[in-house]
Amino acid sequence: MPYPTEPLELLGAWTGALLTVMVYSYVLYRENVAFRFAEHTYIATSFAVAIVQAVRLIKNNIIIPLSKGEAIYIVPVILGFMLYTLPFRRYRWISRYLAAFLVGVGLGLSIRGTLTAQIVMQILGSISAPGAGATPLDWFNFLWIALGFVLITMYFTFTVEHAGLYYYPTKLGRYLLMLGLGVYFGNTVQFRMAMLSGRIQYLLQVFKIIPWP
Amino acid sequence: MLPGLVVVSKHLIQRGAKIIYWGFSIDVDMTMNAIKARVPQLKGPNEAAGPGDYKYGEDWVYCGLLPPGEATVAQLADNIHSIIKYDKYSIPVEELPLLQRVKSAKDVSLVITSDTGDYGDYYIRHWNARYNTPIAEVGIAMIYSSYMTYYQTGQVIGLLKGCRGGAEYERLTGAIGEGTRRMDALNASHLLTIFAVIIANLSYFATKKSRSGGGS
Repeated sequence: MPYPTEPLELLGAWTGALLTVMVYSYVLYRENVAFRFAEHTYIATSFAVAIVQAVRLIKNNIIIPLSKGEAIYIVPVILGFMLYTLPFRRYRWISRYLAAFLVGVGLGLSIRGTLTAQIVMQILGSISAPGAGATPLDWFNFLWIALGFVLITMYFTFTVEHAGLYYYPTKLGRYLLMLGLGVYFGNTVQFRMAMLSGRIQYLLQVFKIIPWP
Repeated sequence: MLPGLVVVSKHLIQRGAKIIYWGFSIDVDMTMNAIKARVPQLKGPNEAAGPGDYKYGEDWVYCGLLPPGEATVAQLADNIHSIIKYDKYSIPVEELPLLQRVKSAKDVSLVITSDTGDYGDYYIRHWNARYNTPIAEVGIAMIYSSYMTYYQTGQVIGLLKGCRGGAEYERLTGAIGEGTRRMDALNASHLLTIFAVIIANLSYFATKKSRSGGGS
């Protein structure tokens, strides 16, 4: 793709670069006018995009079907408006019915999928020994997970004092837990670095130091 | 995630797979625009499709933003048309041949989800657990460890770990691009981070030793 030549595209590219620099000015100068400007611009833009998207959703999913005579779509509209009684003390009870309905639907949906996908399957995966053709690494992983499961569960058992026979297993469980959290933290750092490298790459592209994607 | 999404889209086109894009985050249009800019085969509704291009409506469709939440993902699995009535360009589903053929999770061969955590779980719960639809995740590096458990149980058939995953997929498919280019910078920054951690620890222990030495 060539470097933008249209005035609007060019303006967009340079605005993006300028806002990126303004945001990263926080690293050197803490809270400052440029950072605040970029922050407020971001919030305002996100809000504007959200409104536009919401209007499109309402138009496609409610207004057009209603205009075609599909009267059933009036039900979600009424339910939606019920939520807006929340600020009025006298009519607040109306919103509670919808809140209860939403919580019920959410809970029902979660339980339906969670039991199979995130409890039964995960337990099966943890207790099933590697099948035929498994490599030594597969067996190591299986035993490592089993050991980790037992030790970390012991660490989180607070009805027994972590002393005597329980001292070393619970200590080892804590180290395993810290190892796991370290992996999470490492992945988080990797993600943030990837974001930073993406912004730097964008700046270099706008400044024509590297080619436009 | 973008390098991963781009290279996966290119590979799907290379394999001749039909693609339906949708999203639950308000910035979905920006992501789609970025993919389209990098995958020129994806022609829009008003663009002429040449040989090798993907014709809009027949080979690929972009549905835009859908109402966010687990309920939508669950309902999509049961009946896609109850949620999607128009595409992003306000074309009715009845005029999109590809969407006419896809009515529920049963008609979908693979879901590739790209998110920061929640929606992958929703697809696993409602598409994979109930309809056995294979799921693959093109996620951020942060959630990779969480999804490894799904990969080991076969609930997720593939995982790409952020930018690195994109670079690896580019290498596998021979379509070297943005992911690989970014990895040089990422590798250098990771080495610097590791170096900083080592130096910080060494200085901590050196300071501790000198303090305890001074105190005695």
